[in-house]
Amino acid sequence: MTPDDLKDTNLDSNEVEDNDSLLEDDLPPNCPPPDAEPANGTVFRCCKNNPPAASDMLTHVEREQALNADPCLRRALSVLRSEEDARHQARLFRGWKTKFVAKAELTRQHGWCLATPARLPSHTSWWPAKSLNPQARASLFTVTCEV
Amino acid sequence: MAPWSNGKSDRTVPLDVVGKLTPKEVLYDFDGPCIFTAETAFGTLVLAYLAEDLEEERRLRYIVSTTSPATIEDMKRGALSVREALRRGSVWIVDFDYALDPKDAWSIAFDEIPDDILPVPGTMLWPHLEPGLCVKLDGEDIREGSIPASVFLQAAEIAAKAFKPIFEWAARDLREFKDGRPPNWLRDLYGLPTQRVAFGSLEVAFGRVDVGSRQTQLAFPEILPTVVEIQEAAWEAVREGLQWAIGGESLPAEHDTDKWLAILESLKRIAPPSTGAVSNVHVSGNLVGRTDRPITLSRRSTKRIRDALTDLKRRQPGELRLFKGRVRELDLDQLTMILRGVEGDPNNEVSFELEDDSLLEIARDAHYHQIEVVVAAQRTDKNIWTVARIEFSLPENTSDIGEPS
Repeated sequence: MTPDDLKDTNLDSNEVEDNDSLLEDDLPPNCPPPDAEPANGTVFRCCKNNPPAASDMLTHVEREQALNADPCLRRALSVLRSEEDARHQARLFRGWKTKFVAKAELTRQHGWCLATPARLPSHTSWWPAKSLNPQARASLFTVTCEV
Repeated sequence: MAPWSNGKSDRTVPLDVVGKLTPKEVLYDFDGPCIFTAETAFGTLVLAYLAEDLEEERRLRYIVSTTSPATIEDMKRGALSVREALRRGSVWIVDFDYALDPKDAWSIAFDEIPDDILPVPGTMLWPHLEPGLCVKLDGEDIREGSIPASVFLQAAEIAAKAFKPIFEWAARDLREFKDGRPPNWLRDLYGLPTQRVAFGSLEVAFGRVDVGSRQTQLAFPEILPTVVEIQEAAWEAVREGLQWAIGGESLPAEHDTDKWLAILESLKRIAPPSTGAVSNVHVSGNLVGRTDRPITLSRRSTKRIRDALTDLKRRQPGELRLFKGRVRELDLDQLTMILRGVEGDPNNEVSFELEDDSLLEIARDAHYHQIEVVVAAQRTDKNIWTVARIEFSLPENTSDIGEPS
């Protein structure tokens, strides 16, 4: 499966809204990196809203943020594989990430993932499928706890 | 306008003083550098912490605090929380644009920063640095710069011995150490390493005990339970006990008596004494399953724990007796002693085990100086008597000794 295959994936219309986001078409070469794998498994992300909103699920490119960062990583969304890591993050950044920890079960139709641990062992970069606009991404997530 | 959001006051710091604040070491990265070190235009080391994303203004607001390499190292090894590290320096607020270029800066007193913008007190830089157990002792007389010594003693007692009864219960199938002093490997499991001490009230954070290397050091590795299983069973029992202590229920109907005796003995050592400086003990941490909100043991909890313990002991088949004699043999490693010259005993001598190190002091003095002692001891299903209390047999003291607490 390649990122191009995702363009033809039929997703539940309740979960995914078709859009012409530049995300997939705009990806730089070798992005996601060759060692990325189809999205799979549980991920967590801290967010400001309950239920999670589109504004909680924007990549750097969508925010027009981190302009000098790696162009491929700017198109990915950071998620954590460990709920404990996510709770820690919510305690650490109350003003920035506020207090909700949200959880999603990703499958291959949701895009590509790559473990990008650095200082956080469970840190994962997720390149959402083109068909998942920020609102559709948010609808995959459910708040599991308020810190 | 509040100092937190006022970037245009007389506290403004010129951007040519601030400098570019290019990250020198990124300590926490998530959707970009969230906590990092940098140098100001004049080479001063600072710690930057991402406090807010001001989406409408397209700004990232950082708290920037002067720091030192030692503070950064303390934070990286879990001896200092992020909040404490920020508090140590002089503080600026710096608003960056989304390209991470500083656009506004002003000075602020740390106490002017809204509390809910800062990390939850005690939160460490990385998840693996979070303490396994955090115990906070508070009371009216406990204040920063004026903490009674007895409070430190209680904190030390919790660190070294509070969980001993539960770990002994969890390791009960390893019969080799059933009586007397537990072996060192078991003592290491419940003697938690102190990671951080904070003042105000007295807060002590304990690290987890890493058993990776110890499993192979056991003399009998083929016997179950493993060290990891002992740890899991013990901490599960601690969690169960703490939940019970703050609830209103009686002990579970079909409870395991030995397990609950151990749990209650441990809780008794954690809970605040009925009198004295400590009136509440707040317990949190991964090991007790409470990272967000602590469990608070009050003096009401103490009464509840003591009542349940007394009730459970009363229902235990067993015998409580007073003995008077002289300590002729004392084994400091095994925590056992032999009392000789015991009136009414056909052998004229009785063997005892001491419940814990705290009883040793009097036993040792009595042994060295050959002073007669009065011992209150309990015997259940074992042949050996367990010392509950020991006192010198002086006329004014002998009448004081009673049922063990």
